[in-house]
Amino acid sequence: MRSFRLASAVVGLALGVAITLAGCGSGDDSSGSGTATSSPPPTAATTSPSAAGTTIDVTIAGGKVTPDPSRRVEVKTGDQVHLTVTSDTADEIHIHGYDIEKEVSAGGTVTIAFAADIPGQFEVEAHEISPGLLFTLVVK
Amino acid sequence: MVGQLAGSAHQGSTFFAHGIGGRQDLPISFSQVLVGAVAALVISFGALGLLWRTSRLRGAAAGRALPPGIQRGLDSPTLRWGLRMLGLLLTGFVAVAAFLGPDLATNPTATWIYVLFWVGLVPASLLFGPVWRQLNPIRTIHLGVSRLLQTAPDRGMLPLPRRLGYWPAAASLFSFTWLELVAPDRATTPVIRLYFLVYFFVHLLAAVVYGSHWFDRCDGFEAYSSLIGHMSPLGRRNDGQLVLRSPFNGLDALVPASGLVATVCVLLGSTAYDGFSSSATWVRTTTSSSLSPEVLGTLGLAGFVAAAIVTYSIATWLAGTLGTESRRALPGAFVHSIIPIAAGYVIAHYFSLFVFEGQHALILASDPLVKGWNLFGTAHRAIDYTVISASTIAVVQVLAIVLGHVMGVISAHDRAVRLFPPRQAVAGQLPLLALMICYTVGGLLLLFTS
Repeated sequence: MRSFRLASAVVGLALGVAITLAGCGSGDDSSGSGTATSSPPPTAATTSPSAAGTTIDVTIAGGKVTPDPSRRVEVKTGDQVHLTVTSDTADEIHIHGYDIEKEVSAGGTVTIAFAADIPGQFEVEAHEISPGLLFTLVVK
Repeated sequence: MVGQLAGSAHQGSTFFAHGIGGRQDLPISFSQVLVGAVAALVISFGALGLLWRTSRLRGAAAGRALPPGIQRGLDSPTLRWGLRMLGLLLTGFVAVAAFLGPDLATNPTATWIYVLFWVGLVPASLLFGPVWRQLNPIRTIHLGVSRLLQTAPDRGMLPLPRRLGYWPAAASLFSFTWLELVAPDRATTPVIRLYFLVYFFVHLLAAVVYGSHWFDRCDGFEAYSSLIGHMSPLGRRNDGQLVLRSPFNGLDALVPASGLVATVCVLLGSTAYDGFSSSATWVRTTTSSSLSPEVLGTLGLAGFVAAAIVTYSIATWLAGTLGTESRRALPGAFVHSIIPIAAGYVIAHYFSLFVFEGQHALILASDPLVKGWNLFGTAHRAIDYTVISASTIAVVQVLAIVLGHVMGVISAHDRAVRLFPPRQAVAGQLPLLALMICYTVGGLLLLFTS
């Protein structure tokens, strides 16, 4: 059983080091961004106190997406997001995770406003073009 | 929070176009990458200098026997049949949803298969050992078929060829990870139905031909559950007793066979590919390439699995060259030490998915046929994204990768001092240490860039 004890000591040590340091790492981050992100505000608050929010514009023309769909758009947890999509064909816009879906008519524009209250990364895509990715929304 | 979950049903062919669930983890911070990498380096070389010089693990001979009463309970036909029935019941539930329910995003099939079953198999096996062996509905149905044919279930028509080893499991796991990560419309019920119908008949037929031993190493899900289950505190000693044992002895008890390296590398490579496929680099490649996403995805997945096999093979070849006087190749001798690393990757990549989409699976389960039912009273719930915070997820991810590394290093160290003569034992371990550091830093970088 000595082997077991030694091995568990090593594992325990590693665990301790990792916990401490991983904790430090994430601590650095949150102090850097300045806001606590641990608990998102309640859903009821659909209008965020800071009226500004983030505006995102996307254009779909001839099956091509501008700006470059590999981009990441960063917002803070709780921010109000205004997404405007203009498309030359009828399509359906889907924000993953938030499960918001809205149709856009051919040659039309649709605006989706929502509170970004779930932290994480979310793909925003159009269903009728391939590949359908419009951009990745990063909420932190 | 996600109020429209239950109401957002639509023709769901593209709903899950990028896999299950809409949320992906935030990248870990660079300081966490550094800390994880430094910890891995320090632990690796610390282990080289500090750990024992002669092998201490006793594999299948180790472990403290459980009290006879508990052993009798765990081995009782009542429990065994209970688990078999549970396996049939759960499979039947998903089958009803898959075959009778509409192909909508609110059909629970995809979430049950990819999240509760596939990801859930890992924590279940880590805790209790090879659980899928007990639950596997194909095994139970094969048992029934054998009764009907009046044959002994473990005796087929032909002996199971030895050289098959784990190769069928490697193939079936590769096919499943391809379904999960690459296949077009992979979250729709027709695609899932087709895959599992083929899976069912292939494995049932093979078991009829070769006997129930087929499932042990050839059914991908059983092999997966058994391999991960080697880290469980619950094990069976070589004298047949159910024992509590350290995960290191559990891993040490794994018997190498042909195809085992490939099986473990499929798990490692597919998880790494899944992380890589959400990186900006890969997204840019797929959006600008003239190749279809399926072709690119297949190449990417196969490439990552091949990279895992090639790097592992080079490391063990070098270990054999540096560590033994006979310079023999040691392909299977260290593969048990890669299992905790693969498990660490899986936990790092799918822990939050399991916590969030697992809730989704239970919500959807209340209405399996999408008729507005509320069987279990969960239908109107929404996923609670506050159960774990983004910073907790990041800590779990780094810990899983680093702990997997530590367990890998210790397992490989003990095997090396057993196999190699003392003078060459340190040199013989260096290629494997380098390999593990590469896997670990690679895993951390995948979490950083995704």
